[in-house]
Amino acid sequence: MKSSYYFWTDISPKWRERKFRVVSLVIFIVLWYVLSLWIRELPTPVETATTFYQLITVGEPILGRTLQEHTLASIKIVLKGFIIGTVIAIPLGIIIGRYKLAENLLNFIVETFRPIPPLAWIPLGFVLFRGLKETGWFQIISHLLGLGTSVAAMVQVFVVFVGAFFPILLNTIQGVKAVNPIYIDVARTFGATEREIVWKIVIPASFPNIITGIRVGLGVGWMCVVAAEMIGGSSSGVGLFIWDMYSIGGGSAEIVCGMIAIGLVGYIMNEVLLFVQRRVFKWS
Amino acid sequence: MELTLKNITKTFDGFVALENITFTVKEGEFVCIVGPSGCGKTTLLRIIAGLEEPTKGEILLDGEPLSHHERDIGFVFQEYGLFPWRNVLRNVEFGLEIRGIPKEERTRIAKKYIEMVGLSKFERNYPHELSGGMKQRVGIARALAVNPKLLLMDEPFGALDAQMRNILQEELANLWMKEKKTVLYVTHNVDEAIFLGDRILLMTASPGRIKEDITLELPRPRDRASPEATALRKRILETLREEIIKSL
Ligand SMILES: Nc1ncnc2c1ncn2[C@@H]1O[C@H](COP(=O)(O)OP(=O)(O)OP(=O)(O)O)[C@@H](O)[C@H]1O
Ligand SMILES: [Mg+2]
Repeated sequence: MKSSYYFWTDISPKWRERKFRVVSLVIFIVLWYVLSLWIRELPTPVETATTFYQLITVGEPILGRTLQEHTLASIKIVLKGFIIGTVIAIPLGIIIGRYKLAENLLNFIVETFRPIPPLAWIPLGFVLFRGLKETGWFQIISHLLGLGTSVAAMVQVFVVFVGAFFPILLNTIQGVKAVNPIYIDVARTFGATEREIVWKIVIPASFPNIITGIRVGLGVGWMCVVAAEMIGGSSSGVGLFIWDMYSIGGGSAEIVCGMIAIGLVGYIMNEVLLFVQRRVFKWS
Repeated sequence: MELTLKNITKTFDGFVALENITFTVKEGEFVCIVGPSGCGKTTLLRIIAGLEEPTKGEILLDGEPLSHHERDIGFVFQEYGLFPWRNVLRNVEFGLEIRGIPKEERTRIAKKYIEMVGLSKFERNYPHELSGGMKQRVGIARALAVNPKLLLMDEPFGALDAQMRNILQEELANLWMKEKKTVLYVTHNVDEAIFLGDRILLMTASPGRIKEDITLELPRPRDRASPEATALRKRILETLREEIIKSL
């Protein structure tokens, strides 16, 4: 009695948080177990854990690749699309957020393209990239991205790019617009040029929003790559792995393992960026 | 530096905020502008700082148009305007950075001014870790660090409690006697104006005009409770009261 009382009321909030995390995980696994007894197709937690171990150590039966190899392949694609998206979205967001003319010119286009789901770009991506495959610049870009001659990989990177682009763009625009005008006035009284205002005021002041956009964008990109890999043409990736396991019939434990890998990677990416965010913004 | 305003008028979409403002602030003078809320005091300072264009009229610094001088003006804002992403030292360094002063020298200069406002212990702190009074000290240090010839202050102590305001007024008076800057100081606190100013410009309610130009012949350091100060305060308050009633 007494010890269980202390279990719940430990003074350190950090430890309490951890305990809650463990408790919720245990409850989840118990519920999962009960459910798996009931629905035969759902693998039990133990089956899943065993399969997971197999997949990590031995690999899957079709291509003989381990789960982490597949995951790493997906991560590489995500990072490529995400970095391109970031590099384009941030400057564009600053320009749209700061200059009315750019906003008037581009807002309509952005708002029309934004509702198109990233996955809806896949067919067009295949058509375009197949058509462009022989051109020099396609080969240069593909080479620079380390994608070889795979049109499918190019499409995946493109889909991730589309997915990551809009959250980063919109958050950047919002952040730039929300910059307290007094900071800009201060800079102007010191004689700052527009360039200095952008670099020394607008960018640091909107950084919290930009980082939020990056975090959301990376998350969306991660969802996109998995879905894009399922569509076909890819030679590796968690999405392909899950789809292959489904195609060979059954393999529900393997499918669940793939999903767990996706969830874990997404979780870790988010935590890393949250950590960066807290580190960089001790001022806010 | 001598500041001259000639017939400054400012309208916002037909709304007249300032009308025909003409006055001169002499080199080294501390001039306070007192007026009812909304009479255009902030707008006036912003025009002098070059943050806003006057609709009509002309501003001269040492006889030359403003555009040649923008960088010689320091502005202290009521809301402090400290950059939350920079610590105290880097905030004070900001203007020096814009002026292209090399890293080591600007750190040295910034530290000098931080010391002057008594915040040396807080150099590495971020604005959110400072009290209002400390923040405004940083604001003042930042404005002074570039050694401006004209200092514009817009109700710098308006957001502080009465004790803190008195302390900072005294510090500012001491600083001014040491540095001998030309200061244009906006406030709607009459006591503050009498404590600090060589001259007080009283403004009318909106549209703002100069109603009276009062020269203070009180000895420094000022005695807040002297009979002269009390009499003057009474007179100014009455005038202000009339203006405020007129504007209702
Ligand atoms: N950018 C602007 N656009 C339109 N109207 C403005 C603008 N700036 C100021 N005004 C108007 O001009 C008038 C004067 O404003 P200002 O801020 O200069 O007054 P103030 O004397 O500083 O007032 P307070 O004592 O409250 O600070 C106000 O009626 C205000 O609404
Ligand atoms: Mg004001």
